[in-house]
Parts: sequence; structure tokens; C-alpha cells
Amino acid sequence: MTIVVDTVTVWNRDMLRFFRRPSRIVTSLVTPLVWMGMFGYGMKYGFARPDGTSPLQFGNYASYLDFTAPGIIAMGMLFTSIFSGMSIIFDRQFGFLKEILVAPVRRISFVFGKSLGGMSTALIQGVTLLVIATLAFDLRFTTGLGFVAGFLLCIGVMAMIGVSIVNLGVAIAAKTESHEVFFLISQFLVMPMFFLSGALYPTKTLPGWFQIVIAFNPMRYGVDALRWAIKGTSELSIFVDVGALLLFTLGTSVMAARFFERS
Amino acid sequence: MAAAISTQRLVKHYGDVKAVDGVDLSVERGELYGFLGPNGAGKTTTISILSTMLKPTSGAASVAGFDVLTRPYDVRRRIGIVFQDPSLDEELTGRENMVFHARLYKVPRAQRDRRIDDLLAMVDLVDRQHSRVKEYSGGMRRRLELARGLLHDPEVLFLDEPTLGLDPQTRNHIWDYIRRLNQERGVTMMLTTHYMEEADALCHRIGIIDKGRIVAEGTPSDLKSQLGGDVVHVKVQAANGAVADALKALPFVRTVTAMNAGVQLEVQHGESAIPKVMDAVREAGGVVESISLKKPTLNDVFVKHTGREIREEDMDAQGRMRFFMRHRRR
Repeated sequence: MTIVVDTVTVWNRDMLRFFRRPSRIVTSLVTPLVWMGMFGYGMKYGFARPDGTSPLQFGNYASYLDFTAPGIIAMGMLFTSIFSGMSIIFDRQFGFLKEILVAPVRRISFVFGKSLGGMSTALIQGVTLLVIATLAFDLRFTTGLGFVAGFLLCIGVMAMIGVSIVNLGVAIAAKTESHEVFFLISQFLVMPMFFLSGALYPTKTLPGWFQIVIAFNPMRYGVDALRWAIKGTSELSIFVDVGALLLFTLGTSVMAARFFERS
Repeated sequence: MAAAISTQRLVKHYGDVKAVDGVDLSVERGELYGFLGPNGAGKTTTISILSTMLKPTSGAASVAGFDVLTRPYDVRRRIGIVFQDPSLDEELTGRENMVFHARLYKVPRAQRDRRIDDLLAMVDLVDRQHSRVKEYSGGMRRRLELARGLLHDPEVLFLDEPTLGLDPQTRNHIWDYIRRLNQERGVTMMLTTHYMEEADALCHRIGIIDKGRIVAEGTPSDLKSQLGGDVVHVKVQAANGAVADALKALPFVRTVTAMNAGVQLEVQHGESAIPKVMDAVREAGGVVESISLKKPTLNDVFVKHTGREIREEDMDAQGRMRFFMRHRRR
């Protein structure tokens, strides 16, 4: 019980900090919107045939942007969440971590509070992007679930992406001294995770050795699940996607808690 | 009643470095105990062990009646700590920092607001409670940390270098707060410092620590009186020899040294000796030109026990970094 109370206390602090800086919300939206606007539209029109159709138009996707938007939303959340984990490095550098470490609370409640805070931030970002992509870009809800159920499933999937990636960030941050090192490690992880997630191109037809790497990429399941919730089509069954995400969320939670406990 | 803080043969090694090397402490409830020593003497390490942040290599310690090794959470609930380095959330306001702390320490909701109001009033931060900490001056931050450390009504408060890097005026204010807290609330306090004046002005009892060992312990006046007496220097016009003889005859004078511009006396109690010395000089036919009194300081005590000045070493790299961090954006 007390762990829950302490987790909420830590979460509450993260939220206070987040809403104090509206610029953070704006900056978390800029990169994905640039991707959608410039990369998405660029691909849509750049490869268009003289008759106006595009080779990148396939299945029930109205345009390349319709295909890639769910992936770009997931990418934005990936970047935000990993850096939410990094905030514990700053807490350590600025000394605030000591206030928590010497208090009569379990360290695990700090980790949980952080992942809850990071998840909330990622959700705010993800939902905002989803709304913008639907209103201003080509993203269309074509899921058989209907808009409401599809939207709710999106939130569920986003929450799992948020928690697991924040935990991954916390685990790395617990083991690194400086934010420079964190940057290095996270870039090394995050870029392949993005490119091999199926956000930008279908992964089903990639050669064999790619498939092995892809199978271990949690973002692959996140992007696939989001696409299913929005478009109604996916490469894997939604149950496989959600199962893999749950497993990954659990795994990173244990990892974050352990690494932080020992740091 | 058991002591508020006690340690037996406390040892902490970092590889070959003996940061704490067999410290025995006993601090009574309500006492204001000072840990005085140069940088790197083992003060902060000892505090870290007592506050359950660090495990000792060997030895035992208990705080507020609980063993720091076997009952760390019972200890944590009963102690407050003001760290050497800042530990506030700069993005939050002063009050928000207090609320966060109250929640962590489960201060009952019904008491929380009143308690925060009281403490903020005590450290004169009511007007600025809704400003972000990043806008606070160094002294304000320190005061907020002090108030925060008391929010959960701790039995023992640790203050690690509470006035490091603060200007003299702010330092005096902090001293006043510390004294009042100790007197009005009866909080047992253990503070570390490498400022002699600070230990002297505040503490009931002082332990002088050097290289991980306590080299002397006692009340400030006891420690200083171990050194012999106060030194009175009298500058006299004429009749030097006769004056010296007359002064030697005084009962409270221990030694008389004739110097070219007067005499230097070692006496038991300088303040009360001065008028009598002046009378004696006058009776011996001398004229007092000037008179000065030098009391022994804790620095002299430190020199006596270690053969070094307490502040002779330069700040090491870590100390410089710390100093830099503290003064950043102030």
C-alpha cells in the first residue's frame, strides 16, 4: 500500500514539472510532425507516377502517410520515453535523488513513479499526435473495431510502449554516470529500434537475418498493434503483438527496478 | 534514556583509504554535537553511515534507538538530514518541495499544511514559498532545506556543512535558526563543519576528527582550556623591569615574558585579569599604552592534536566542483 502512495508521490512531482514547462509538450510534437509533414508528404508525392498514383500506395492505405503515421507516432513516443528515463541522471546530478534515497520509502516506488510519469508524458504526446495526424494529415481510422474501441486500444498500446521504454531508459540511466554516455547508448539502441519497427516500411518481406533482429525489437510489436488498432490490418496477430508488449513491459520493469536498486 | 546517536568502533574503508577508522560516539538527546575537521576527515562518511545511506565496513551504530544496519527504515523515519550539497528540486516551488517531503514521510494530511506554514514562517520563507527554487538565493535554499529536514518532526537532525559557501551574514542567520530549533524543539543535532567559529558558536560538545579518527572531544571551552590560558599582551611606557616583577607576583598569572615593547602574560581568565593587570602596572610605576587579549581557538586545539592547521589544505578537485555547483546560477 505504501508503495502505491509513494509511487503516486513521485509521479505527481514529474507531472508538476511537466506542466510547468509547456514548451516540453510542444517540442515533443515537433519532430514527429516534421516527419509526417516532410518525410510523409515527400514520399507520397516524390514517388508518384505521372498519372498521380503511387507505388507506395497499397492495401487499404490511402497514401504512404496513412501507412507511416502510426509508426511515426510510436517513434515520437520512443524518443520521449527513453529521455524520461534519463531524468534520473539529472536528479542525481542536481542532488534531488538523495532526498528520495534517504527517505523511508522503497526504491522501487521511485522507479514505478518514474515510469508512470514517463508514461503519462508519452500518452499526452501520443494522443495529441494521433489527433493531429487524423485531422491534418492523411491518417484514417478504418479499423473494424470502430473509432472509439480503436482509439481506446491505441491508448492501451501507447501506455505499454511508454512504460517499457521509460523503464529501459531508467535501467540504462541507473548504470551510467553522465548524460553524455546515456546519449550514446540510447542512440545506439533507439535508431535501430525505430528503423526496424515497421514504422517506415513493411518488415514481412525483409531477408531472414533481419527477421531475427526484428523479432526482438519491442517497437515492432508496438507499431504493428497501433496499426491494427487504427487501420485494422497488421503483419502479426494483435494477440501476439499485445502479448509481446506485455512481456517486454514486465521484463523492463524488473530490469529497471533491479538496476536501480543496485546503483 | 539511551543516547540519541551512538557508534562503536565504526570503520569504513574505501579500498586502501580508511575514511572512518574506529569512531566511538555518544550523543545525548537534545544535544547539539559538532563534528569538526578538515575536508576529507571522514565527517560526511560518518553521517552517511548514520543516515543509513552507506554500510560500514565494520562496527556498529544506532540512531534514535535503532540499529542502522538492521532497522534502517525505523532510523530513516526518525531522522532529518540537511545534505552538504543541494538536494532540492529547482523546478518546483519551495512549498511544493515541502509537500513532496511531507508525502514521502507520511506526515498526516490534517497536520501537513499547518506544519509547512509554521516551518516556512520560522525560516522566513512565507513570502517566497510560491517561487521556484531556482529563483532562490543560496541562503534561502539552505533555510528551505533546514525547514524541510524538520517537517516530519525528526528526533535527530543531521546537518552536513550547513553554511558551506554562504556569506557571513547568511551564516549568522542560519546559526540563529539552528540554535532556536535545538532550544525550542529539543531536536538532537549533529553537525559537521570545518569552520572553527561555527563549531565554537553552536555546539554543546565537539569531536575533532582527523583522518577518520576522533582526536579530541569535549565542550568548546574544555577543549580550549586544555591549551593553557589566555594570552594578555601589555604595552607599557617605562619601568618595564619593575612592571614584569609586579606582574609575576599576581596569583592568576602563569608566565610572564618580557618583550621589547611590553610584556606578554599567560593568564587563567583573560577578561577578569585585565583590570587587575592594569592596576598592577600602574602601582609599579608604569603607564599602560595598550592592552590586548588573545583567547585560544579551536584551531589551536586542532593544531595541538594534529600538528596541522585545519584549513591548510587547498580544496581538492571534488571540493572545487562542489563549490562550483553550489554557486551555479546564484
